Amino acid sequence: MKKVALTAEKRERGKGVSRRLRSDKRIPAVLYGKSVDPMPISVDWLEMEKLVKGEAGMNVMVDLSIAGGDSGMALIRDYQADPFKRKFTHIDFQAITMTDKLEIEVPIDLVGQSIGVKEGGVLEQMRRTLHIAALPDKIPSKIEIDITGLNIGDSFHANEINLPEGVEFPHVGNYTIAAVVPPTKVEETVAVPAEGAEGVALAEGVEGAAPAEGAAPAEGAETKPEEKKE
Amino acid sequence: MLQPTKTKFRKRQKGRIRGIARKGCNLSFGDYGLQAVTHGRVTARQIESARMAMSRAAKRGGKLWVRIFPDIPISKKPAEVRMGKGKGNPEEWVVPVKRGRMLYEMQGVSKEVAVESLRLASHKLSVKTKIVVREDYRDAK
Repeated sequence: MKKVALTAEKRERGKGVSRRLRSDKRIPAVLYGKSVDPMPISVDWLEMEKLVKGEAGMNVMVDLSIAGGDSGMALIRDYQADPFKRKFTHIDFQAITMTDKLEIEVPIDLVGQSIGVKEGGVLEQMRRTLHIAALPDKIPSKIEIDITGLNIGDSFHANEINLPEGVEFPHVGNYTIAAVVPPTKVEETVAVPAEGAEGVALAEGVEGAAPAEGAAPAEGAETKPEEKKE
Repeated sequence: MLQPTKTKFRKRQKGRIRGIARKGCNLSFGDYGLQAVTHGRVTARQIESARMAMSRAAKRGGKLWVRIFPDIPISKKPAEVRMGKGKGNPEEWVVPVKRGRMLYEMQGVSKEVAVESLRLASHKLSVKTKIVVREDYRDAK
């Protein structure tokens, strides 16, 4: 796992403080851990963006040095981001010790082009991260999966992965990671009213909104002809 | 066109579209997506029209996900009818779209094809949109 350095500053709690920090191009954050009391901090926005845009993304060990305070290793455990601009609004750092096993999500990298895709199939990736447990220095930056052997209709499951030494699955269940599926068939859909539907079915021609053949309007549904016209 | 198979009530109140989308705003399935930049109502006809445009542009290749479903009935009074005498009949189905909502997703086609398909689809919709690519993207939580 790659190590990167990051400087942080202590901050006050509260939304007013956090909003002022965001307008000053800083990101409110929190540092917590087994042996650390939760501490509100803030990090520089540009520095953080550069950090996560590296090859390993967010799966890095951060050497966090807090101005006027301690320093130590931490992981990006969680974050909040704006749904529209995708900017960080808050980050959770978890202080770690090199002797404790961690459970973490590691990105999956699908390698190669499968036989099924060459034949016109579509590679569908169900999981983009893998939940693993390992010591901090054994955590891989990413897990590579060779998919060249997948044909149309084949899938790759979690139990088929050869995990690196010192890495294990923390749970028993198995799940699909990727599959090669046939391409989408275009179906010409026509509005079909449901049987017993309370609402009036909307036929293609909106005018009049006559229910399609064979669809009796539900009991109680108003089917009187328009009497309001004058 | 998309519409619910069964509804509890025939007619609904109008409602308002406020705020930004907190749900359904991420790329959940594909590598390319069309995200709403403005809010508004998208009708079942628009959804189908955009879907067809994308499907044709991609030459039926790849995989496509429609992330929205029109489940709100819109009633209208017939032409040349005086006001009053009750609410009009349901005429169409819409989905209220908030800013930030992911509308369509694509996978299994090249970036050029996906972007062109999504561009064509965007012209069929009543909301302004932007194209999202997984390469330079981060999930909102």
